[in-house]
Amino acid sequence: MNKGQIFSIDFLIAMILMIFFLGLLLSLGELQGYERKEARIRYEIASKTEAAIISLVNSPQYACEMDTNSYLAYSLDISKINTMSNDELKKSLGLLDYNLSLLLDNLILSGHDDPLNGKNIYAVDLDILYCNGNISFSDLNMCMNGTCGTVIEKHTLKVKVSK
Amino acid sequence: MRQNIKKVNKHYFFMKRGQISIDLLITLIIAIMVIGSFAIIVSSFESGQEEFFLRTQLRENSSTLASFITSTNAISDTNFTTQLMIPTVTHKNISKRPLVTIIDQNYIKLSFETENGFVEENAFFSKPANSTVEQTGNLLVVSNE
Repeated sequence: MNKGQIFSIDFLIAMILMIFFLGLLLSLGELQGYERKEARIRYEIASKTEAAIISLVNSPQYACEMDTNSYLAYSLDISKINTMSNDELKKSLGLLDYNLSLLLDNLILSGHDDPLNGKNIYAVDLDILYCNGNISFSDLNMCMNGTCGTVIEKHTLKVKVSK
Repeated sequence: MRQNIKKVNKHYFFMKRGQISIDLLITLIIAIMVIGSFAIIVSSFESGQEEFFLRTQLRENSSTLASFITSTNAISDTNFTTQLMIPTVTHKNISKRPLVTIIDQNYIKLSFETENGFVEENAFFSKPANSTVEQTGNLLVVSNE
């Protein structure tokens, strides 16, 4: 070492390498945290959407009511949906802070078409029976035998949720 | 080269026997300061990550429980009692069940006590109108009777 020299070049190199590896370690940690956050958001939106769909097509609040005083599983009564605003529907399905869009055979159900602005969109297609008001058992029986009338129809419901 | 050796010899010539050079002292002080600051950075990063992972677990678990309660809307026309085990949360290698609080019959709050106080996360749910949600031991019970 020369007179007046504070650091040796070895020490300086060691410090630079240490800072470099520390930075690398911290950025790897940040990356892992970011991936975990993304996974959590995906999980949250998927679990909320699936719970909402189960409620939407099975709950007596929205399902088709039959003359036998029972409700048809995997059905949707449009007359019940039409009386609700999209905000009421979202609250009732546990999707308060989310955007919700409902499409029947790729046609938007009017009043239920939130803009899907969010970064994460989760969409599910579901084969359902669609009715407009109460149905009778004979209507259902006819549909099961392949002649679905105008009272009860087979459709594909697409539920899109974003945040 | 010869001149340099002369200079170095001259430098050490003035040091007394057993005396630590000022250069070495400064180097040691700076090394301790650098290592200390690295330790502080790593420790604060670690603590931030620990809290982040705790919050993530609480958010996921509250979301699971909220989805479970919302799903019971599908059977709201029947009398039912359904239950789900409240998942444990791991923080600093300690697994513990968080505290569950139902707020306004619409939000489920999970709280976990750490050395810096409680960490809390909420999730919104919708339940059948006449049903009740309560915690019984390690279980979250939803009843409609």
